[in-house]
Formats: sequence, structure tokens, C-alpha cells
Amino acid sequence: MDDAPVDERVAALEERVRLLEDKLAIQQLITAWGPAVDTGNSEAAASLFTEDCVLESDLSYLVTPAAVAAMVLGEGHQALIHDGSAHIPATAIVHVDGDDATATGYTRVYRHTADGYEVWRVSANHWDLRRTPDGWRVVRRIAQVIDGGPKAQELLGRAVDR
Amino acid sequence: MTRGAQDSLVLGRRPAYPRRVTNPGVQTPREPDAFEILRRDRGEGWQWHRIQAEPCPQCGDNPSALPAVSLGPLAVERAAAWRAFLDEADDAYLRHIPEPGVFSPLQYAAHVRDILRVYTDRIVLGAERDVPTVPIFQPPQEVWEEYNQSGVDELAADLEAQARRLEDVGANLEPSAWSRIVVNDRGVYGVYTFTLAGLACNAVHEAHHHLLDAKGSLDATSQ
Repeated sequence: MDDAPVDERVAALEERVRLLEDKLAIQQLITAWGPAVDTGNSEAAASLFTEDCVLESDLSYLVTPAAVAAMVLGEGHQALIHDGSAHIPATAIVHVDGDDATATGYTRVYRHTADGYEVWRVSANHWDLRRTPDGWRVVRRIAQVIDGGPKAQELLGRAVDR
Repeated sequence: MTRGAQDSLVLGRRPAYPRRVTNPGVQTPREPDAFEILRRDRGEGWQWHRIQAEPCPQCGDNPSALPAVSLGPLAVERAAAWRAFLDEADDAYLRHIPEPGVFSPLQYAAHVRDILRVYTDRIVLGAERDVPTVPIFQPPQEVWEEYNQSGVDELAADLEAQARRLEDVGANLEPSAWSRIVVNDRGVYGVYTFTLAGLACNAVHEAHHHLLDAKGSLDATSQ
């Protein structure tokens, strides 16, 4: 590689930098969910998704960003964040393929209680993402609470069974 | 990608979705109650909103495979099946509650009537407004007890009337309207999106599934 012409080396370097930028942008996109929903900012939460998005979990099935916004404003979520909550993702395993990408990883939700903090949920997650004119957006997110069942195992398996 | 473009991941696109401050008066998330645990142990834990895209794993009904415009006539057909069942069944059987957590046939019938009514209301709402949010439909225990005091003929007629209303509403929808969205905020039970076609799928599935419940011919362990 070191002996290759400069233009080829620059092109290869650009490709590698672009991949790093894509992965960083996707990590930021995933991380942005927490501050958005923990502050009840429905606009910010909805803006992370494409117009044809699906957000699916054992507690939700949401189609379109407007539905995501409605969830943030809903009774259950408002109850969760009232006393203080923190939606925290672990670093996801990201695979980029052109203008599409996938990510797999864990998330956990902490709740503030009278006795301190408790882990309310730990979930397996899989994201399908798309590069849009506005940057990377989530097309589909599946979150399954980790309870010993096969659904979470299947989601996590997507990261290592490639 | 420029630095500005990366920043726009969070700050760039701001659709005009509603925003409101947190409400300090709502209850905190909780564990499932005894009835939910009972239903789960009987194998009834399927996420029923999935009926808008998948077959029911218990009864096999798959209304999402049908054209949306046919769901209203299907509701009328299923209401007629309820009428036939209610006309033929013994009154004592109709009011008998087999075990805790299982409803009597008459309670199932009243529930189906109410589902047809409420979900037709929601179809109308979703056709008129963009992405409306509707609450959980969960009658209190005393209403379930009142269901069991219903007159059989009156209930059968009401159930048929609600099915015909669903048929009328569906017949007057623009084809594109079936994909409009309604958000069902079920509080601590979660938040689910339905298309208008999905609402109709749920209504006709309830009519079919609970008739099997009422007849005692649904095997909850067959999923």
C-alpha cells in the first residue's frame, strides 16, 4: 500500500475516514435518544427517525416519527421521566454498507427512586439505519427486554452471527 | 461529511411535533397485576396489536391479509355468527363464568360490541385528524359485571348494529385513508400505533377470537 500512487492512497484514506465518520455519526444518533427522551423532548426524539420508521419493543409499536413523538408525550413515558430517568446505550456494534447500516447493542434504563437508583430495564437492540440528506436516521429499531427469552438472544445474535 | 452535517444529526431537522412539559400527576410504571399474570400463564401474552400485520397465533385469524375495504362486511358476517350463537345457546351457559380471569360468553359478546363501537370511533377520528392519540380501552370490573346482566336479544342487536356502522364507515373511506395513523397510548402498558386498516383488523379479529372463547373452542395452548 505504501508503494501505491498518492492518489490511490488518498482515495483509500478518504474511504477509511468516511467509514469512521459514518460509524461515529451512527453512535451519536443512537446516543442522542437518551437525552431526547429523558428530557421529554418529543421533537428531538422524533427527528432521529425516517418518515417511514418503525420503533418496536415489548412496550411499543410505533410507526412514523409523529408516533414516536406521541409516545414521548404519553402517560407511561411521562411517568417514567417524572422522578428522573436515564436511557443509556452501550457502544453498539455498527456495520455500514453504503447508504445503509445496522447496529446491535445493549441499552439500559435507570430510574431515580426514593432509595437511590434502580435499573428498570436492560434491553437488546437492533437498529436499521439509512443515510439521508439530513444525515443518518433510524429506519427501524427493535428493542427487546432481556428476560431469558429467545427474542433478545436473537437480536444480540445478529451482531455476532454475521 | 462536514462537521456541520454531523451536528445536524441532533439539531438539524426539527419537525413541528407537539411538545409539552412533564406531568407530575401520573403514576409510575408498575409490575403486572394478578389478572395480567393469570392471562400470561394461560399463554395469552401475545401482543395483540400485531394482528394488523400478522395472523393470531391462537386462533389463526389473519385479517391483515384481506383488502381493508372488505373488513367492514366481514365484521357484519361475524356479528351474524354471534347472533346465531346467542340465539341458540342456553341462558345459564351464556352467563356462566368458567374460572377467574375467563369471561362468560355474554361478557365476551358485550366486549366485542364495545370494541366494534370504540374502534369504529377511532377510525372516524383518525380519518378526520392527523395522528390522534387515544387512551387505553379498559372497562372497570363493575362494567364487566354489568355486561353479564345484559339482555341477550338486545345485546345481539346492538352488536350487529355496531358491525354495520363499521361497514358504513369503511365503505365511505378514501382508499388512501386506510393507512392513516392513530396512536394508542396504553399508559404503563406501552404505546402502540395502528393504521385505520389495523384498527379494523383488530375489531374483526376480536369478533372472531372471542366467539371461539365464548363457545369454548379456542385452545389457548395451541400457539
